[in-house]
Amino acid sequence: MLDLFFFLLLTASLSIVHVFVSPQPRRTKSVINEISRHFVSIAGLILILAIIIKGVSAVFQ
Amino acid sequence: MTKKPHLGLLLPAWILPGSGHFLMGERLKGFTIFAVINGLWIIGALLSDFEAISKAFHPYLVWLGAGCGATPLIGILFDPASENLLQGIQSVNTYKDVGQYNDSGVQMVCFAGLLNVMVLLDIADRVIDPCGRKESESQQNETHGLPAERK
Repeated sequence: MLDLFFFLLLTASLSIVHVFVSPQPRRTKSVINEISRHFVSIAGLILILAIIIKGVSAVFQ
Repeated sequence: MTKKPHLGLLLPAWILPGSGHFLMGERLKGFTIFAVINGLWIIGALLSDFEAISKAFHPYLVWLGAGCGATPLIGILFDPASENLLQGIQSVNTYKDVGQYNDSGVQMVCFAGLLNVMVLLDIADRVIDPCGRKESESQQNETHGLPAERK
């Protein structure tokens, strides 16, 4: 469970720093909205990747 | 009030993440970066028993964390983790087993270092190509009906 917390912590940190340091020419939403969007996208994509890798490894076992 | 960025800000930003943006006048951004990156670094260093910032334990991986100035500075000045190593060599009784979240701590310090590299690049980008950034921002603002200059 703590591993999941670390994963979410690192993902949140990446989202926050990325949104703050990247030039945001099309900032139409608030910073918190953008950070949330990045956070959900990154965490979701990594989880999808993890599911795919789990599936592939299950096929070959 | 935003101050003009210059390359001299890279040094404080490297040693203390977030201080570069703070000195540029972007206090909220600087404080957030300070809290996030230093928080990760401190949690990581504590979880790994300072092994993450020790060249004795991680001779190559430590350079990933060197994006935060504290990693090489503490590693060069004094190596807190090497005391554990020496104790382990001296006596089996004083040997400390590797913590369960040691690897997670090492990852966090490396991550903090890499995030600070992003922050340093942001400062450097403002110094090297401020016109390009301004033009791009003003173009996009015009498209969205916002004023060209933001204060």
